[in-house]
Amino acid sequence: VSGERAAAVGDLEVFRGAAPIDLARVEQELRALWKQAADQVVEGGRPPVTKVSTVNLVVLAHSGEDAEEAARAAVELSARYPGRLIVVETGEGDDLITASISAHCHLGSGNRQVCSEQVNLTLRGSAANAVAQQIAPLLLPDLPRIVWVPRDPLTVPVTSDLLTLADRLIVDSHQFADAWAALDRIIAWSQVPSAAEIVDLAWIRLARWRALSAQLFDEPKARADLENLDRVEVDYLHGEEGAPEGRVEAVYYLAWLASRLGFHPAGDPVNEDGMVRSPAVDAAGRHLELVLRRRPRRGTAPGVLSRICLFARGGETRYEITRNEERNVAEIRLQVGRSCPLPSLVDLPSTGMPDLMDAALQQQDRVFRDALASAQEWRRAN
Amino acid sequence: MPDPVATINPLAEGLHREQTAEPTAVVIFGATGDLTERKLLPALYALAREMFLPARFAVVGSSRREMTDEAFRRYAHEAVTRFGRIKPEPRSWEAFAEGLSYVAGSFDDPATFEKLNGHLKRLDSERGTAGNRVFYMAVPPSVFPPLLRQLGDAKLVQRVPSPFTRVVIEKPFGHDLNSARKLNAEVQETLLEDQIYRMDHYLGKETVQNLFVFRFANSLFEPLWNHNYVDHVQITVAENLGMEGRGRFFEEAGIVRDIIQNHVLQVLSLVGMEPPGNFRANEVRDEKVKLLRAVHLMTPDEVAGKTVRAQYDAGLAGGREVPGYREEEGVVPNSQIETYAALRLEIDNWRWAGVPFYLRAGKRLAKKVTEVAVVFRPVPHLPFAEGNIRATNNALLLRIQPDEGISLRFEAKVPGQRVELQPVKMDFLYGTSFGVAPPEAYERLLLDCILGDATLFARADEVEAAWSIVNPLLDAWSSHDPPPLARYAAGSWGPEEADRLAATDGNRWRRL
Repeated sequence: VSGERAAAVGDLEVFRGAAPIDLARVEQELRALWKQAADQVVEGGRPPVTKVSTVNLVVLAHSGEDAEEAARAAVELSARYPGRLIVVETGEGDDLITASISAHCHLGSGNRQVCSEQVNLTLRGSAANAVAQQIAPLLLPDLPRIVWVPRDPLTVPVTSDLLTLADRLIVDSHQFADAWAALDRIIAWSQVPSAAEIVDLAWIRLARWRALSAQLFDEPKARADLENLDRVEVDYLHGEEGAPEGRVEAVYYLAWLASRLGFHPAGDPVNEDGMVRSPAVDAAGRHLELVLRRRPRRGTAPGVLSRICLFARGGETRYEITRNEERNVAEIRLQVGRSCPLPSLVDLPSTGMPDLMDAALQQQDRVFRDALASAQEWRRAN
Repeated sequence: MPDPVATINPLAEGLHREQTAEPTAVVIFGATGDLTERKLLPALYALAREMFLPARFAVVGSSRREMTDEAFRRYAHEAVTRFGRIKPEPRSWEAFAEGLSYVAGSFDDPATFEKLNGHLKRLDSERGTAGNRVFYMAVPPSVFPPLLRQLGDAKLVQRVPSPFTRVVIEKPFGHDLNSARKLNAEVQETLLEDQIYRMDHYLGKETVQNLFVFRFANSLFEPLWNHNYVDHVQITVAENLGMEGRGRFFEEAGIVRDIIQNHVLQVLSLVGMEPPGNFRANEVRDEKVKLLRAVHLMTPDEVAGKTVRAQYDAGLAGGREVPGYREEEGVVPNSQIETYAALRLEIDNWRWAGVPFYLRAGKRLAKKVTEVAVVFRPVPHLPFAEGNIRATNNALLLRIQPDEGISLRFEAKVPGQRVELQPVKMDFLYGTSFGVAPPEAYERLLLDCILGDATLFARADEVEAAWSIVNPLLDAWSSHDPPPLARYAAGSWGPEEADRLAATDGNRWRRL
């Protein structure tokens, strides 16, 4: 291997091995690269490199551009979760397997460089249909195996082998061309026996809305209103044809609320003018109307949901969270009878990819599985 | 359907914190002081920025100085800019600042509290804070009791669970055992014990909390965690700074009151306690109190043989000459106050019988470091007969600050034809394994208080049990015939007498 210090940008330093290398020699070449990196650091008088392994992160991408973009995000993520990053680029064509290696180090506390290693694989032709078999020997033992599909998973081979090899599969239903197809596929994956835990970044994006909704009912008095909800409205943003929209998030929100409160579909939904009204009932026979409403996205307005409103006690009490698109904050209003305090403002930031992935790596969420099961019921009803 | 009026909010399950905070108004008394500026306002903003605070939230600053709401917001912005882990970001600052307001007045004037009461009621209606209050006493300890009485007289604190009233008080909790008991009694005249949150910021440190996790979420070490395998334990809280303008305060305190009675004994209780059945506040604190009560209380005759007190002289720190303690501003020239103390404690219970616990804390030591070292017994027989081979005791080193982490020291064979042993260390470093910056201690503790979780706050009996441990030595040191005050050079690792204390058991302090 002719390992060399390739670049140093900010607190990130990159060591690159020669390419291509034989897939069977990846471990050996990585060891040599680490030794050379350590020697070069000593010679250069830079802080010592410390290789840290906390995770196997496999990025599965289709085109070279996607793979590069995803690898950049994954390298950024490795500052928080150092480990082995395997970037797999799959494609059609003649059978081909190529590999290259690199190491990247972030300046951490105690003047140490915390380093991760990266293996790039290009798989073409039949090799691309056996991703699980190609990466299995490259995974570090005893560490979580995360597979991240940053773009539309329908363009890469997410096989049942891969689903059972991984501990966690991270996808983003925004990246699917069709929102309902996304939901169908995620539900199907979650039902593969011994499959990885499925994490949808769309669900992670909802966390702030869920937290704000939960906070509305933290007061014991308000909590009693959960038994007296009549109607829930969720407005989501819809852009130009093909652009990401918030429909999956909106469905997730309603499915989450229904699963937490024990409601199930109770009849056919009514679809009119961009609005879907679905009747629901719980085990005690209480009725609830769930309303999904599509709103046009104005320009580059951020976010996916624009408003949530929960009505209780025949509409006498109203809990409302509205995104103020100009200020990108949420306005929270509680109206009880005629009393209506001033709205509270809370920050409602758009979550960047590193933070989304951070949450996705930590998520251990039975609640998502419940919401997914509930979403499946609503999907059938729709 | 889950019971909607049950304690657990069904919508909160699976969220970042399952128990989300209820609407709350936090009132800071001493709003223009150092603690508020450096710690409280930055911590509250960080909690808001990281979305831990409820939407219906307000912060009311209160102190004698006249200030408008707008001026308090500017003051808070500057404080967060200068001292915050998370700096103000325009959009989230706007949302946070909207909940900031200020009430000026003297704390011995009932009119101040009438005004505050009206202000809080207005916030309840305008911001929906629902009558829930956290009063933070960022004021000198002597002000707590009269301030609490004013709050009680103005009906601002009530002994009811809902809406809640919680009061945070900062250490020191008393000056000795008697004053701690008196303070507890005075505070409990107005409040129930579960409304009182005694803040020792050490317990908010991630690495201190990790002691719980390390001990009670790993099966590897707990079987060894007793007198059968542990030879001794060392707890060190070393500071390299001197008085930094706190000389007058330190003259009233000394290192035992300032560090050992609270921080060091808190760490001791976490290292030595039995596993609690759960992580609820009273179960955890019950176990801590049991451990503290099991510490052998020194008799006056024992103090000289089991403790060392010392004071620093001039020396070198950080490559520059620094004055001795008695030359520091605010310190009397013949001061007998200790800037260093070393204690040898014994714990009279089944687990720890016969295991010495060495505690040391000092100012102007060689470096700033807080560490717990659990040193294991030597092997009963070393089968390597060649030469004069000795094995160093295994040790588990829990570094609390800086370079937070855990190391295990064990023996390894030096490569070669002969059997030669050398101690090596296996290191886990927080900074390298977790790239996420941990929250500040005040963030964690403020949030816990708003959530009503008192696990990381000291209970009255815990404070009194800790004072019981140090009271005998404080009495002996202030008696007519005190043991000598040893000397050490600034920038050293303390006095020789401390080395001799450890050497009485054949041990030595770790060189850190």
